[in-house]
This record gives sequence, C-alpha cells and structure tokens, in this order.
Amino acid sequence: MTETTTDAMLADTVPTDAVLAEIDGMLRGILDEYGLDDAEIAMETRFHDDLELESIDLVTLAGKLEQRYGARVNFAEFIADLELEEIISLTVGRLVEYVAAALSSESEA
Amino acid sequence: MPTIIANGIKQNYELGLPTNGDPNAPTIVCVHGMLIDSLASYYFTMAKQLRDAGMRVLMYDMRAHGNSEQPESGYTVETLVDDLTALLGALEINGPVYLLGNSFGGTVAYGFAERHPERVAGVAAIESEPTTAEWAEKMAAALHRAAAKLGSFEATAWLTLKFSAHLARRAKRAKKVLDATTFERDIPASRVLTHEQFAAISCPVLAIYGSESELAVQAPLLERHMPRCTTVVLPDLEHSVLVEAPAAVLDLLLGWIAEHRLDEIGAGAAA
Repeated sequence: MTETTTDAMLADTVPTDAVLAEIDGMLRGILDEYGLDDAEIAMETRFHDDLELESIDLVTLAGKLEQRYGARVNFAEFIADLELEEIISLTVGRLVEYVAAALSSESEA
Repeated sequence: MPTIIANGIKQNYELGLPTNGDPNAPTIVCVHGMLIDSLASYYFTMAKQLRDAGMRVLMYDMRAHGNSEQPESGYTVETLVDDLTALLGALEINGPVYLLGNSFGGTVAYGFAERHPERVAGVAAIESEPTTAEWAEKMAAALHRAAAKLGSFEATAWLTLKFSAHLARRAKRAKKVLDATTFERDIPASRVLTHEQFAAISCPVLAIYGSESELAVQAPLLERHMPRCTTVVLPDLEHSVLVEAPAAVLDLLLGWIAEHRLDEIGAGAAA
C-alpha cells in the first residue's frame, strides 16, 4: 500500500480511486485464474457481463474484501439487501462506492 | 474461500459462525444443486440470514462444481455422500447437523440421512426427492439430453432468452463437466431406495415444493413413507423455489428447526 493510499484511508472521506485500485488488484487475482488478467476495469465495468465472473467468483471476492478490510466492510450485509439478479448485474463502481462509504464512516467514529 | 482435502479431493467451502457467537449453535449444512449450481446460491440467499438466526452455516461446492476439484470419476450419489461425510470429519463437525438441500442437493441430503442417521438432526429439502428407480431413469434421460444439446449455439441462445446470459454461461460449464467426467454415467447408476425404504430416513424432514413444479406430486409419497415428514407446497412457484422465494424458505426452515429443538429439549428434560 502506498503512502497516498494510507493517507486517504485516514482521511474523513476515502477517495474512490484509492478503493478502485485495491479492488482492481483483487479482481485481477481472480481473473488471473482464468487467464484473463488483462481485462479493462473501471467504475462502469460489470462483473458478469464485462468480466465474465460467475456468482462463485463474487464469493471469492467477498473473501478478499474481508481479508483486506476486516469487519469494516460487510459484504454479506451489502448483498443481503440486493436481489440475486441485482447482484449479478453489479458494477465495480457500485461496490467501490459501498466500500469507500463504509471506510469513511469507520474513520469518523 | 478456504479449501480442504477430504475423501481425496480438494473441497471448497465457507463456514460461517453464528452472529451471536453462540459456541453451542446448531450447524446447518447447505447442499447445492446439479451442474449449474454452487455454494453461491446459498451465499447470496440464506447464509447471512441463517447466521443472524443463531446457526453455524457450512456451505460447500460438490466435486466438479464451484471451486472444488473436478476429478474424472466418482459421481454416484453414494460417493457424493462420502465426500460430505469426509468434509464434516475434516472440519471436525461431529455432532448431528441439519442438512438443507436444494434439488439434487436434497437427493444427496436424503442419501446422507439414510446412511448416517446418527449424524443428522433433520433434513430440509427444497424441490427434491431421494434416489429411486424412477428418479434414476429420469436423470439418465435428462443428462443424456443435456450432454447432446448443451453448448450448442442454439441452446445457449435459447437459455439466454428464456432465462439469462448468466444461466447460459453456467450451462456451458455444465457441458464441459459432462464431457470431461463420468457424471452422466454415474448419477443414474447410484444406489436407489424403494418407497418403503424411505422409512430409513427417520429424522425430522421438511420437504418444500413449488405448486407448479412437476415434483410437487411427490409430497404425499414422502409423507406416507417417511415417519417424521412435513411437506409444504408453495403456490405459484416452479422448480426455482430457493432463488424465487428465499424469504418464504427461510421462514419455514427456521420455524421447523425451532419446533424440533423444543421437542428435543422436552425429550431431554423428560429423560
């Protein structure tokens, strides 16, 4: 993690591009298993339609999020409010915004 | 998601502790469906809710599904039961567990309960049936059709239109499994039970069906032969009950578990 990212984590609001960079790394790890790690990943990228991730891959992503952020980011709670079809059509951006918000409210506490 | 070697294969699983941290929480083991399914269908519908309700939740991927290993052979229901038995042993989950099975997962759950009654607190099966001669014949035909048709351009287009691109993609993966393993041959060759032998499934059973599904006609048969079976037929639902009505399933499941735990406590107090 770079100094900039650490500073960003300690700020009141966590910039989304710091989070996007982290999630980009996690996704490339998953895609690498399929030999697809050169995909383009941006906020509008859709997990299923663009990255061809299956729902089982989202479970792997949840594990990585927990490893990286611990209890601060509750992926299980995030998806509990979504229908299965909404989960499947999730964008990277929606997840990034959720994580950034979760981290920001943590640091305000 | 962690993996562990059990019954000689790498098995992918998720073990979730109860939200209230209760060290004596009952365990529920979630068994997914055939070929186009994985532990994800429980992860995204039931897992958190079951943990919030005070249960320890084990979900796992069957061989050739999700992120578990895909050996070339070993796809009879009895071997899949062995896989689960070994997984529980490897994770040191030794006391009686609840089994929640969806479709083919329910068939595996019934198989486990029939062979290991002392390890089962109850079976909740959604849109499912135990292995029988009729079931084996049905599976042989369905798997033969799947092997012949899946993966073609027409099948993929049809599945995408009728359901979703997501399902169409899982169907392609299913075809790869059928081509690379003895799945098609093994499933119908599984050991079967007669209806009278359903009586060996002596634990509490909750069998849930969708009214519009062709399996719903099984409900009276299960009630007649399984000694402690409750069946529920949910209106206006077809086979995809777990995904279409998870809240209803959860409600029925938790009510049934609570009822049986009270019975057990009562029996314990009377002893």
